[in-house]
Amino acid sequence: MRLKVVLLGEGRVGKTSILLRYVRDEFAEKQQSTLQASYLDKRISVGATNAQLSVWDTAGQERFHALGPIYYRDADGALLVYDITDAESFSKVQKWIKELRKIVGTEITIVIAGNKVDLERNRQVDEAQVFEYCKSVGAKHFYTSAKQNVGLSECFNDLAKNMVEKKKAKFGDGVAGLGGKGGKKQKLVVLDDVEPTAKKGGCC
Amino acid sequence: MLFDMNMDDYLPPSTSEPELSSLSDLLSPSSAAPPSDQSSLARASALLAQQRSENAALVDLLRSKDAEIRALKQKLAAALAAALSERPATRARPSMPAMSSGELLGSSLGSSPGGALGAAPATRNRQNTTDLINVRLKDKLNVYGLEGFGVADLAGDAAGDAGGDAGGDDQPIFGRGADDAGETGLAGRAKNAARAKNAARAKNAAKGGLFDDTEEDDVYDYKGTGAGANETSNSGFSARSADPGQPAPPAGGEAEKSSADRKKSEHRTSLLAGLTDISEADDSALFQQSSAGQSPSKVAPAPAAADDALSYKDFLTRLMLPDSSDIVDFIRRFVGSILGPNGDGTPPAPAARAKLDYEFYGGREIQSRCSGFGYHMECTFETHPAWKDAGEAGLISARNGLEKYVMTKIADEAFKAVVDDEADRAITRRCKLLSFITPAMLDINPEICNDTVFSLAQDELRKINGYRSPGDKINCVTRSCSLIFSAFKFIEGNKDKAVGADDFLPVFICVVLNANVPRLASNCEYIEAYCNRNTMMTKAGYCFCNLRSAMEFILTCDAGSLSIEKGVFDALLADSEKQLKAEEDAAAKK
Repeated sequence: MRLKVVLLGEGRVGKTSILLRYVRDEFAEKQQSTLQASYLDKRISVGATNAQLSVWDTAGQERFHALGPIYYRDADGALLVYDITDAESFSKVQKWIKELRKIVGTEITIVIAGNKVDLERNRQVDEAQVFEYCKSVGAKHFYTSAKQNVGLSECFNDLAKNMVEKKKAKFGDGVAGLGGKGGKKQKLVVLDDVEPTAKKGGCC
Repeated sequence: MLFDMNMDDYLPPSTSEPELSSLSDLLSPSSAAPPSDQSSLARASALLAQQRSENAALVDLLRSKDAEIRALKQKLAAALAAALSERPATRARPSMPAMSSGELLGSSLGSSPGGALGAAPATRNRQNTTDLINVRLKDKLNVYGLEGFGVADLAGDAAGDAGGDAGGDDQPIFGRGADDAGETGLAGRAKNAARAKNAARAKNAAKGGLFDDTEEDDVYDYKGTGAGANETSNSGFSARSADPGQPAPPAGGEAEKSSADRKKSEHRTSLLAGLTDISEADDSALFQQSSAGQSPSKVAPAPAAADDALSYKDFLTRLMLPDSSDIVDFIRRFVGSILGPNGDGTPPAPAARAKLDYEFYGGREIQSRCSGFGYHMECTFETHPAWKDAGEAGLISARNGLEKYVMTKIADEAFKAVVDDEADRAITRRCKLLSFITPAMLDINPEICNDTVFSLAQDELRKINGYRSPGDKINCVTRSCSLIFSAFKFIEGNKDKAVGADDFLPVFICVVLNANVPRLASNCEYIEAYCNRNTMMTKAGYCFCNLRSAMEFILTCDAGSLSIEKGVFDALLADSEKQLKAEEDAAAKK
């Protein structure tokens, strides 16, 4: 099963570091090509299901804000990152969520991550307010630190678990193979039209 | 231009691997002067002398044609230079890009410092001219019925297999000469092919392809005989299987040694290394083969792709085995239902229709039929006795290989269904209009603003029009992105810093803006419509998504989205608008 996760958050909240830390730590030995950390794959098991997470980084600068939907339109999950030392980054998260709900509805699993907990003493975002907000929008909240590797796997595991459940509820268990072909069965009818006199080339 | 191509381009290509390497020898700096050109002309004139005694009138005719060709040669060289400076490395067929990313670098390494990028196009320029001249010479002679005198043979030999290539490969480069070149090239190619030493290839090329209706006998023929099958598929498909991920030829290594500007060359080599590195480590789904030992670069051995992944060539070879004959037959009927018995999308004559074992659809419902077909075949591969044990990577290879094979054949019809001229014009105009945007206006780190990187990335992007299948097109985007990512490595003190989308997207926007690829919007629609959904979830899909968002940014950006005063932006825009208007008016007058 292939799952697409989009990383959203203002510039400099540490999206890229989170992504790199989460994926790289597991693969530290045979680290893949690259310093590039804007797209990474990771295999993960959720119960009996093997899933492949594709994590897509997005540009967080305000000038690219309007491009968001291009990235998250067909995503299974979104990880919204804010910096606990930067109040504005949290209001940006609220803005994203509003948009996400408007454009992709509740199909998408949303998790919010408060990054840079290693800088707790500089905290600027009120914890109670955050929890209340997360509850109101039905999103889980995690504290993370890419620097100290805190909370990352919990965060992604939870995200993956929810995405798998959602996908299974939608398509049934049969999507576990190569993935992504649920809901397309009716297309076969078209094919039968195409080849009315022909013998079938294979199984279906 | 590309999509006007003749059916001949569906044929298994006439170049095979050894010829590719000889072509690359020609392109390497050590043998920059094209010997084939000289020898063919020398031999031609020798023959002319011999003929003179026999038929004076004929010789006069030949001479005038020769002069005509010379004039053409000059004109073409000029046109070529212009066309190449505009879009240096666009190629029509997959065989060329196999060299271009590598060789572009390979040959530029050997050039004098400063002339780095210029060298490759120049070298190729000569080669192209040679090819074209030979084809033209031959064709002219054919036209005048002189083929029997053997002159055409000479030209044909000299042009050799390159002659066969000229029609397809050079077409997009030649711009205005393209139709002509295509015509002559194709004519030359058929004749060339008929004389080719490799009988199997000749048979294939001359007759019209594997799954072509008229060639049913052929299909069954080599399906039945094992040896024949191998021969045909090897020779017929080897060149087509040459894929963009393949490393540069050894020539690049030698060139590097001889390079005076060591540092620059190293920079470029490692750029290339970065590119290869990234693409090789990338998922096997894109058919990037890892091939240790051939690459001149200092690439750390990339993690081997999953064992069961198949290259495009291997996929086709395997598909040709007798136990997949039902699949082959099914593919043939699907392709036939779109291209028809004439192979060009024209409906069959009523009499012919009765003989077909499929229903002709042409371009009708092509999008839904393609996705239905793709899904159906995916299921088929998963359960087919010959394929079900291929493993996950093998099945992905099969899926993508099939997509490439089918889409390469039906690209013309498929493109027609999605082409959006208005969107193409809009983005092209907007790119021109915004050409005043500098990297600084997008707050791009000045250290990444390296002309080599930018122009290489733009070249990769421009190649998109040179490919037919959506997978190949999307690979152009991926390579362009990979180049940019690897370029970040060379920023001082940035070695271990992660490059995220925050850094990447602005650079990519600049690249897209400056590349101003023709028909970009239509190409995107094409990819979106025909590329497998699963591919869109991979890194290729991510890069494509970035292309989409770069285009969206270009179409919508205003002073607020750039680091520039509103007044300055407005002034620049008005200025640009005025200039563009003047250009358009001038063009309209012409």
